[in-house]
Amino acid sequence: MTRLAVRLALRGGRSGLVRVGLIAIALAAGSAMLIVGSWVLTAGVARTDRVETRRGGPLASVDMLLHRAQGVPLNSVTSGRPFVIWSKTSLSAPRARTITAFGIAPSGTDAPRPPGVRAIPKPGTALASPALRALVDSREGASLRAALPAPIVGTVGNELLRDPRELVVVTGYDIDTLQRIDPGAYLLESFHPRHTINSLLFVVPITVLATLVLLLPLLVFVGSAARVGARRREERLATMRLIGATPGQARLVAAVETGIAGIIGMAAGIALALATRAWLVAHRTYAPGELPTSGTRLLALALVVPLLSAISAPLALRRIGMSPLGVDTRRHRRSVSPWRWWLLALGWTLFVAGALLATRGDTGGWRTSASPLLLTGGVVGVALGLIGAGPWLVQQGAQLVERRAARPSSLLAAARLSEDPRAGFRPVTVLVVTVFVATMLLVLIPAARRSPTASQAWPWTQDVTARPDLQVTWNPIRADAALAVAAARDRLARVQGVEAIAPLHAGTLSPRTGDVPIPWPGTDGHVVVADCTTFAALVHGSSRDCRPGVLTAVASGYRAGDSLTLGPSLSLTVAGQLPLLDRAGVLALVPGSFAPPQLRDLHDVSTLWLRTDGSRATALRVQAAILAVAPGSTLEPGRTLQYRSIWITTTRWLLYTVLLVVLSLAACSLAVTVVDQIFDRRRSLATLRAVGTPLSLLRRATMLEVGAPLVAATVLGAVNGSVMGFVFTRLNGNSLAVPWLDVLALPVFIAAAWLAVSAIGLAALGRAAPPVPLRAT
Amino acid sequence: MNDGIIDAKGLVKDFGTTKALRGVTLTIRGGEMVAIAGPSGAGKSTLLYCLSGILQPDWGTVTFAGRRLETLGEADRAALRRREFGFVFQFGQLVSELRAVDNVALPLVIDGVRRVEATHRALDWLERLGAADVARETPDELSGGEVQRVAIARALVTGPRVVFADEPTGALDSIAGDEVMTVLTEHARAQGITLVVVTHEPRVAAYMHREIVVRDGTVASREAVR
Ligand SMILES: Nc1ncnc2c1ncn2[C@@H]1O[C@H](COP(=O)(O)OP(=O)(O)OP(=O)(O)O)[C@@H](O)[C@H]1O
Ligand SMILES: [Mg+2]
Repeated sequence: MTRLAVRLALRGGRSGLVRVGLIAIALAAGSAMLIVGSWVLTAGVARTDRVETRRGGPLASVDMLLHRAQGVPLNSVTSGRPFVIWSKTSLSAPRARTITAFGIAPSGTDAPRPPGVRAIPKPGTALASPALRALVDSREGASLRAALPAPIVGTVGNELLRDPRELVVVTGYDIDTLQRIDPGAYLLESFHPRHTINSLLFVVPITVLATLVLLLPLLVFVGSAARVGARRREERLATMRLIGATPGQARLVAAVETGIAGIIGMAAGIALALATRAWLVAHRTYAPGELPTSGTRLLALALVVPLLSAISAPLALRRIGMSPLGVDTRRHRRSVSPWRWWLLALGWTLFVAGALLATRGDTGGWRTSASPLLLTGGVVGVALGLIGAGPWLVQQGAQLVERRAARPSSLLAAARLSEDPRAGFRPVTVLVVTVFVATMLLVLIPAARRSPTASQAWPWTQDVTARPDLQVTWNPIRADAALAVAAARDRLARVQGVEAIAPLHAGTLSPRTGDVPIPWPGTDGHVVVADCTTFAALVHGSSRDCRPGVLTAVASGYRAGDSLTLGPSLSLTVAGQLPLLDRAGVLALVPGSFAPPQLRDLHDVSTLWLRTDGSRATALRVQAAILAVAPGSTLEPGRTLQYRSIWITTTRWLLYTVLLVVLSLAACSLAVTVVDQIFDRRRSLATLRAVGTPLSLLRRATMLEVGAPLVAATVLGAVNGSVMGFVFTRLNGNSLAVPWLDVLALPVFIAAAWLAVSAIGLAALGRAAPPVPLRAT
Repeated sequence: MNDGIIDAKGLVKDFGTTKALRGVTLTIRGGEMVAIAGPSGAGKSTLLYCLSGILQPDWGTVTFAGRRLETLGEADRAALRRREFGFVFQFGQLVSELRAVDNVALPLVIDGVRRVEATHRALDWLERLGAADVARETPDELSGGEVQRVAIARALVTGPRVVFADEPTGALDSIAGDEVMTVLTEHARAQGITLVVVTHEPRVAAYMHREIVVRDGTVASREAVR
């Protein structure tokens, strides 16, 4: 029988070829995405680890502080083992790139070597990353040669680099010189490989989640592709029944067919992934070693998709009833009961209950733990409830239109939808859940772009010169930071192009300091004290709240007018919440000139915020100045307060990517189903045309028929999703602006997909239904 | 021979290497009831499709009431088929999602008649054809004879000048077939409608005024008016 199934699959005629082709393409794309995604994820984790490793241990720097503060000789703080002094600064390079400049001074020939450095460079020489060497050799970077701390004599390996494009220079010094030019340098006895990202807590859940997110729409697509021409195949099998075939064999044929498609798709997927890898390596986005081509892993990943789809395809077929007595030509109106709403109602009940519990405040005990459970249950319940309620909604709408329709196109579309509303809604099932989850997340993840600087704060484009704001930061645990800042401030004020300098008293408040009550035990707070100039810069141009005695705070649980106690004699009024930030512990932004001395004393100034004219020349001058007076400090785009927005931007970007993939897959499933349904009905459509029905009318009917469930799915998903997202933001005490524009972009995308799918459907219509009564097949 | 409502001259139609029509010339007068008979594969259906403007012949001309069909575009021919002609086929001719009454009303609605009015006229025709009690059912719930009655109602509801039928009784037993032919010819006669019926059953041809026998794509014989 399997042989027969293989033969049937291979000789399935044109519809069989279409099926195998569609499934293979989807599986190829799916497994390629999985493989490349896993590469990128692993490489990302390894990059973070490399950056952490080369940073050295924080303990070492504490030892250094002790040594300097107490004036003890360097040797007495070491254990007698060989060590290096290791420092990190940065330099600007053309096109607003940054060079990471490491300094290294070994205790002797047996000193530990950083990864990727075969021999520690002698004092007065430097090693450079391949990208930096190429840049220095180019015409554009020629001037950089003089700006580097020492001539380049060798290359550092990829083990030290975050990515192959990174510009890195490692300069050799003797110990005294390096300590003098960078008092913040570390003492390291070894470069321990560090693993900062817990793969069990991070990599595994993300992989599982991403696989699920990708697989669900993919399997739906495979399912709809497997149904292409299923009716015809059933007819064939029904005939075969007479000569001894069993009904279960239809499923076997489908499984074999998907299996064949799976093997083709898997091979194509691996090829596609390897091609992508070659492209990424050629463009030096990744080093070859970062994307390992180990056979077992590739195969395992590539197998997941076809295996699951081989199981899913016959399941999809089950839904088309297979009668052993041949194909049941009598179809009946399948009405949908209103009971389909109960799951949605249950979901909302759970959600509202959870929300009510949450607003009661921290009462502790079972309520605190029950609330997230109820909320999660509510979200899942509503998602499933939408799938249940969709067909009912389609049925009601269609029946109403069918009774009233004045136009023949809407009459035809409505009749078709009300005849089998489940079939009408099935192709948009993925869509309704996607729209629901997406709107909820879109509302939840606040818009970072309200801040003009934050909008550019992509983690991978550190565009120093394109921004008017720069910041110079010192290591917060430096003993002499205050002195260094004072010196740097005077020097930087004289740099041409620097318009304003604002010192920020910034630091972490933790419950351990004792005098600062933090609303959430265990959460660190972050306080920034700034003057009105900075304040205006930070709160993007608004100095509205810069008033004496007023604390502008982002503090979850506090509202405007509340007072926040920061010490025995220090309590301030909360003016409002910063639009840029969401709950990031306690963050208080205090106009510096009015800041009470207690607060100012709490932290030294560790950051200078510079407002410049934004030119590259100014950035280079600032860089020269700080290298002269403040070595060891870091010059960066002004972004003290933007770390949240980077997170937000990255998350949104990820969300959009995932959305695009899922929605495109959903659109493909829809297209396949629409075309198949048209071919299924070609006899009746052809007869309609023969008796004089204009093609344009059938086209309008098709568009309506595809569009109505889409609209239902979009509205259902978007309304439920945005209400839930909105409630969630309220619960988080978050008054951030909801990015309604992005939320609106979703229906626009769906409308575009509708047009595309309809266009494919219309093309199929013209081919499937010539205006001649079709002869029996 | 110019007094015909339909005039066909030298019709030739090939499907690839198959020569379905090899030069058919015939005239059908207004109000006449004509049977097109002949063995299977002779080209009867092809001839019917050419006469009604469903297919374009490769060669030859078809004139309907003085209008040359080959000069019309597909949209105009569709409008002609909708307004001037009615069709009854062997099977698969009703829209399976629409109730019987909506199937009958559809051509009127397409031509811009108000829904209420169209439904009213459709019900009227279903009643005349004795199919009023199945008006609210969908085609899948009907018997073969009922489907043909609904189809005849749909063919007649627009007040056509010619009704073309291709094996209208092909899927029915002889009793149901006789009933269907009786209603069809009765109403055609009453309305003065020209009737062209393709059949290979002599019993069906006997209802007509005249029989044209097609064999191998040509007209083999013409029987005089009875
Ligand atoms: N669309 C088509 N494509 C290819 N060949 C066709 C097509 N339509 C008809 N033919 C061929 O043209 C010839 C005449 O077909 P037609 O359907 O007109 O015969 P018929 O007399 O109606 O036969 P029957 O009594 O079996 O219905 C046949 O040989 C048939 O195979
Ligand atoms: Mg025929």
